[in-house]
Amino acid sequence: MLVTLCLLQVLSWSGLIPTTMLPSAAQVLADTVGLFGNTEFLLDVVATMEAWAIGLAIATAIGVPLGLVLGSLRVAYEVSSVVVEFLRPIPSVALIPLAILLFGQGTEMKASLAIYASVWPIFFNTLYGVRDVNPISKETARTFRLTPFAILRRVALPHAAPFILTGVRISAAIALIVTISAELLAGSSAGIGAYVLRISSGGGSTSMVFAGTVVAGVLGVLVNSVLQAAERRLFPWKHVEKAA
Amino acid sequence: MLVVENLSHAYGTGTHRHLALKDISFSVNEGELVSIVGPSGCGKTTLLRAMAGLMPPTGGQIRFLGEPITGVPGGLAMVFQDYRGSLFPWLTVGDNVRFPLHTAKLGKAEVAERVGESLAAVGLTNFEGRYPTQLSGGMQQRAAIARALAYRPKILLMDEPFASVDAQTREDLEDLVLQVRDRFNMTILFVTHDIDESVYLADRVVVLSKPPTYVLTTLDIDLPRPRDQIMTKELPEFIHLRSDVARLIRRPDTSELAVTS
Repeated sequence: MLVTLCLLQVLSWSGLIPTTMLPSAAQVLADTVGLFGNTEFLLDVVATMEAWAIGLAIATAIGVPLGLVLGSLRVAYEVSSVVVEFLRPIPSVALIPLAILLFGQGTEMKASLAIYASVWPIFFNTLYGVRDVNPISKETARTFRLTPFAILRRVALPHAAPFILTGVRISAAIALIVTISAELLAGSSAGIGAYVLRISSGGGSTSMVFAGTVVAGVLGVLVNSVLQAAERRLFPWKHVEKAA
Repeated sequence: MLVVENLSHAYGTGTHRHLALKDISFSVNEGELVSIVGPSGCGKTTLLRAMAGLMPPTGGQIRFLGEPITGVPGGLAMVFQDYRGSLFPWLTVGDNVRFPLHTAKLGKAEVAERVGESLAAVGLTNFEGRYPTQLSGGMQQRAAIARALAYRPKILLMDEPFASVDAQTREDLEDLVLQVRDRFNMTILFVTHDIDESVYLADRVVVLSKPPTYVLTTLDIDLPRPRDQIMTKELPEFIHLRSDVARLIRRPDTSELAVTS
């Protein structure tokens, strides 16, 4: 990170690339700091985060139960796999026009695209997590006369939980990317993407555009570290020292 | 208490049909410790899974407390060889032992009492808050036994429970089984491929043939109790019994011999 910044700074000092194309790292940093005092921009950040959070929450609410059910019933998966394999490769960006038609240019549109893009890692990680349960674990639960539903809740779900959280972590980044892309491409009125679009089309400085992108990156890092901290707290057994 | 009648089981169908269990009959009476011993690959686990109600056999019948087994019956607990798979890694030792008690509609005090008592019986009182991966293999298997004890089963099925621990630990765990059996007055069916273990623990040993499997013989073990790893095993009777079992299992022509005898 630091090395990259220094390299960028040296590159701009060298004059090889005009500063209108690649502003100096110092300038971008200064503009980034400045953005945090910019109320209009902060509202953009809130708008992005809102659509992102709604999208990720709904994707989790869909992906986890679906993964649990399809992961434990092989027949159900075989039946549904055609639909899954058809939907999955469709890039969410290609659905932007449809989403605008259905939901307009606001939060619903952004969130719906975020859901579409981020549901897959959550779904597949849940599915594989459930399938990864040791058969002996399930037999143990069966000998204690747990119902299939109780086995799903008390054995498959806790076993799959770390997989699920990893899925959510991957999806968090994807949802952020898609939300900002949607703002940019759909010409949303608010959001980090909308800010970048306003500055760049309004003849603003390259440095200000870069600053907006830096903020998006910082948000990504923050969300990821929050989820990593959650992982350590939620799954202590993953982090205990193992006996020899 | 547990009666197995002409049990047979085949895997696959048609030309791929493989007869694993041919004809198995024996019974376990209340309070008895019966061990089942046989050569590796003789379908011991298949037999145990059928008795636990985890898998319907293709022929014969098993009755537990007079009722034919159709699914997993109440009052039956199983200790698996694979304790790593059987203990839930996301639960502490205490919560693992508590696991089967959720379905039993017990009061909080009763649950706590059973967990405490079971952990004490296997010597894990101070490890209630640890996770299974923090314990050695032998201690993990103790935890699995404690969980089965807390469930208060009428019969305890043990599927080669000590096959993955070292020899010293194994002897300790064998003695632990004898202790908890006395203390809780348990009926135990112990499956093993270890001849010494089968004789040392049991009141009766059921000796199985190579597949397709049937019962070669059932031996009464009249060794004095309490048994002791050193003193019991140096008794001439012990040596005779273990040799009898070994001959039955090891001899290449056991199947013909047993059929004619």
